[in-house]
Amino acid sequence: MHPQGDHDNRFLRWTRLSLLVTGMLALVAGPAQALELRVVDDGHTAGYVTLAWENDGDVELQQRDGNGAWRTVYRGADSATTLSGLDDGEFAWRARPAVAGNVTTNTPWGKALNVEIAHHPLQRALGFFAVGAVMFVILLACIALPWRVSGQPAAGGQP
Amino acid sequence: MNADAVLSTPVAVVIVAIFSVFWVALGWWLGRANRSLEDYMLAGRHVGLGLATATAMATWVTSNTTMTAPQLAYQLGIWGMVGYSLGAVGLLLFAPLAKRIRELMPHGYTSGDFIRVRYGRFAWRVFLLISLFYALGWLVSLAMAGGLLVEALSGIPYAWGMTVIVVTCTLYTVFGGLRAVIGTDFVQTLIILAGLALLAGLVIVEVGFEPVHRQLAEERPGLLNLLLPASLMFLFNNLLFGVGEIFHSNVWWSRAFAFGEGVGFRAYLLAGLMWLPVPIVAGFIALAAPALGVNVPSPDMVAPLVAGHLMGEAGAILVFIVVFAALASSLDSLLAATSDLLLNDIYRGHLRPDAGEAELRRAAAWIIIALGALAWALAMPRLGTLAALLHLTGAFVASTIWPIVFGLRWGRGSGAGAASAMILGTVCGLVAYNVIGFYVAALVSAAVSLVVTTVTFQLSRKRFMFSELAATRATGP
Repeated sequence: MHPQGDHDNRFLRWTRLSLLVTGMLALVAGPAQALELRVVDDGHTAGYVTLAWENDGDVELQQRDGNGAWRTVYRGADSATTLSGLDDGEFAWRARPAVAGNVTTNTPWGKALNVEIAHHPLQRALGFFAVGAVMFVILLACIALPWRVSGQPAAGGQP
Repeated sequence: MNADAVLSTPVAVVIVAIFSVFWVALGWWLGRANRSLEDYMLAGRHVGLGLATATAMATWVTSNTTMTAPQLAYQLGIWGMVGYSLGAVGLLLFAPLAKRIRELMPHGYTSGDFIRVRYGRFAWRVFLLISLFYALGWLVSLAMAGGLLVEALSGIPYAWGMTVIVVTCTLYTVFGGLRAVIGTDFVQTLIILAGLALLAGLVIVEVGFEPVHRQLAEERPGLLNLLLPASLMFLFNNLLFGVGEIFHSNVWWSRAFAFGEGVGFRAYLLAGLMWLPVPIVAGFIALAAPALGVNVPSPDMVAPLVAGHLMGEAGAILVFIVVFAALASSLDSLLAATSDLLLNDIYRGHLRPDAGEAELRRAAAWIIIALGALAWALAMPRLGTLAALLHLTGAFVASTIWPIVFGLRWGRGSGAGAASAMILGTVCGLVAYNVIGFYVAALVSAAVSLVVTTVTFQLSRKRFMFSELAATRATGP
């Protein structure tokens, strides 16, 4: 007889049993998983962003603009969404599973994803615009001017 | 998998099967008239105005027009849509160039021929690298668009849809060469124009301008902002990107050689005017997404999703057919023109200068098959979005604009200068792509190339005799 050994065996049996029960409960109840958002197309300098997540079933996605209130921007079964036309500022998004087994859930929100939208300065944009416009005018002139006759020596040409 | 797929899988499979068989059969039937390598590569050099306009128009209405133009409208707003439509400028400006090219090189085969004779071997090789990279990028983006379209509308896995479209286009291009490409393009143009007109009409009737505008103003005001910085930067970028694509690519040069005498100018002009409103129509469809409450998981799927949501299965079928036609009309042109470039400038130009016509004819078919297989393999991993892939190539092609335009107009300039302009333009464009964004890559590339080309033309003492181009034939260097 080894009292200490019996105690260990009982402890092991209880441990296994409790693990089994916990596992079955987890299977029945479903995991209260927190949804994690990630950026798959980062257009933070152009005012758009595509967010993606992993989940089976419906998802609710909320957005917060600066220090404003959260508002739902998507609810459905897709695994990504594109948000565009965003102004400068700090934006946050969070998501949670919205439906499990045809029952609306109230699962906790996943960790918020923060993205700062910072458009290019307007002066820079206008600078590029002007460079493009100048090149277009040069191109137009190059094409619209009369072409040299085919076969004629091109000695006097100037760009 | 997209939860908004609206076309049932059996219907999608039937459409794909019918059109695949139809295009392949038509390509084979048209290809029966091919008697020589010149027939196969250049459709006998006497394509008339109707077919010429249709093929230029259909080739430029790509999956990018029907899927990326809406994507840019959805991401960059009004200017994204208008900026994309400025791609028509490339076609319009190429009209006089096509006339000039046909006059200077009546026996030419490829754009590579011009660069080789005008600037020499080094610039020719730099140009070939750029052109082939662009062609491959475009091919892959078209193949990806095919897979995305099928997946977005029907839920059929991306890999299957992409495979069927690539195989179909490869088959009929192999069977019929450029004659098949131009013939199918004509039918595809009719489908595209009728389909888009019907779709736009339905969107206006079913949704209307006012609800679309109201929803955008409330939910996404940035898309209506005419001073949205990225959009302003994108405007001329896209114009120059389109010009670079058309001015350098053998897709357009081979048509300039293939069109009958005096046809090229009118055909490109008409095609440009007909193409101009297409991205506006496609972009408007995308801007209706917020008003309709359509979620957009991937921005390059916005147009099919909106049409499917709005018109149910009939709308989805219509979009499916239109985009399938647009895809096929571009994919086949690109396969044919790129295989011409590989055959003429790489196979005959570098590897087998003494190859006979029969050998070249066989090689042309194998090159088309190899290109199709390569595009399929590269499209399979589904790298990035369509716009990202497409605009990466903008840094490359915009660098070729000035060496080509200056080289066609003036006798000065050297091979080293042209090569420097292309290399420096490309490198700076790629830096801009990574540091600033895709919407300035072509702009920066073209600007740097302009400066280098102007300086080297001014410094050059060489005088090129344009009459040398007249003797250009598809013989190795």
